[in-house]
Amino acid sequence: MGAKVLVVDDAVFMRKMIGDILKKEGYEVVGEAENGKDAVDKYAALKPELVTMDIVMPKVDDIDGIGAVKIIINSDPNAKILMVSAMGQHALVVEAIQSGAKDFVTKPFQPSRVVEAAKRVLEG
Amino acid sequence: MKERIVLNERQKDTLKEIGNICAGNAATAFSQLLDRTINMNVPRVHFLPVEQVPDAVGGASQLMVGVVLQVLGDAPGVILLLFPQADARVLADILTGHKSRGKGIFTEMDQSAIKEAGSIVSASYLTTFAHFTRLSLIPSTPGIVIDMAGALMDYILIELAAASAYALLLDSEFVDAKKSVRGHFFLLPNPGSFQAILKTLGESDG
Amino acid sequence: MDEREREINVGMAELKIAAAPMVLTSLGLGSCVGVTIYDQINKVGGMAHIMLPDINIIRNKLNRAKCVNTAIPDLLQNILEAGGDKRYLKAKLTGGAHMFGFASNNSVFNIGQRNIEKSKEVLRELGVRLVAEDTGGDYGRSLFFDLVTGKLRIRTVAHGEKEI
Repeated sequence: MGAKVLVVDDAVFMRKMIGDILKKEGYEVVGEAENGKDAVDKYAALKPELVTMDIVMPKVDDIDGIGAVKIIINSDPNAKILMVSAMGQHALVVEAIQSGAKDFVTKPFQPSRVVEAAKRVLEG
Repeated sequence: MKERIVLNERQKDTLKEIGNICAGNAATAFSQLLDRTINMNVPRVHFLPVEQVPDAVGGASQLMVGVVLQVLGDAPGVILLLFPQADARVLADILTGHKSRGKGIFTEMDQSAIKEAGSIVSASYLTTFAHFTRLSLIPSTPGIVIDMAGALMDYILIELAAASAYALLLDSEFVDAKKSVRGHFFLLPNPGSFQAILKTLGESDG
Repeated sequence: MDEREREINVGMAELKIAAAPMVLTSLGLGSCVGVTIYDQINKVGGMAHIMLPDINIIRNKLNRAKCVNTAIPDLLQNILEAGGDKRYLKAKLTGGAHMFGFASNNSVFNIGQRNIEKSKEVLRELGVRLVAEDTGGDYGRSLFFDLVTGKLRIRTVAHGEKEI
């Protein structure tokens, strides 16, 4: 069985798309979260080996995507988080990386880009 | 209070040129997402009374699927993507990989897919626009409405109308090679943003 | 005259007066309100397709039909000039939907609701009786106001059709 993944995105379509790409490569999608708060809770409960994290999500309990990165890294410095951003979010990507995210992919992406990035993050 | 009409032909041409490059990059992003070629036409730049906008986008009673994003940052405004219902159906089918055979109901997954497409196209367009104008511009999370064009636009126009009698409308039509997905991408800067945009382009009067 | 020939369209930020056998129409109202006033005896009436509640808070005041507190008084005045009798006038109110809730903007800013409230206030001040309404919701409406009967037919995409 492949590595356990938590897919975080406020758009159900994007969760399915990323989940499908990773499942095809043998990853096990153990959970999905639709906001930062949900991601923090599910990370603690599911202990995934990889998290894909949408960079722009509505705040819940004052936690957005980057907020979730900070909390997860704080609780588990070895957490492996891959950011998913749209174009034009360079500043946010930089902040996420500085907060402990390992890498990023930019939408729209080819499936192979997600697969390569996931591999890099897990090996890194 | 008399309001000065601020857009001359030269300024329109400048906006059209920049809009064309923005639309080109947005079309590339859209093509990648759909894995089929999407072309976007040279944009039309309208500067017209707010109440004429529904006619300019094809009539108030046309049934449309609209994705709306607020533009946040240095030059606030609104982005609206409008698809005729049948075209939105095709778009959703391509994105989700389902065959709905033209059924009219848009599931939560369909709507999420259409919103995400709007979000990706908008981010690409705005990134290019920001590059030219050196303005910081970020799209909000998208909303979706399936209704008559007039009804899904008037909320946006009402906000504009409070500040100005005129709307600046950059309209790019996009279509795929099979002509099965056709739609419009509209950028409507807030009235206070007209001058900010023109100034950065060296096209300001004042 | 068939139905189509009888129709007179009232665009956004317009108001129009007509008499039987005409039908005043207004298409695709979202947060805008549609106000009709009708004199059942003289069969004259009008419709306004209004965008904003208050002309005092907008910058450009040239089009009085854009705002509730100028459009409704003008609508009334024009109907009286066209032969309407104040004693017989009845008003109907539609529209004022809340079309979008942006995730980033869940504020109480609801222009549709404010249009509805202001319309009621202005009608009350003018002494025109509000006899029916179909307002609010999160969907658009198209209006067909028959000056023969005074009935207002309301069409929607997913919420059926009704007559008030």
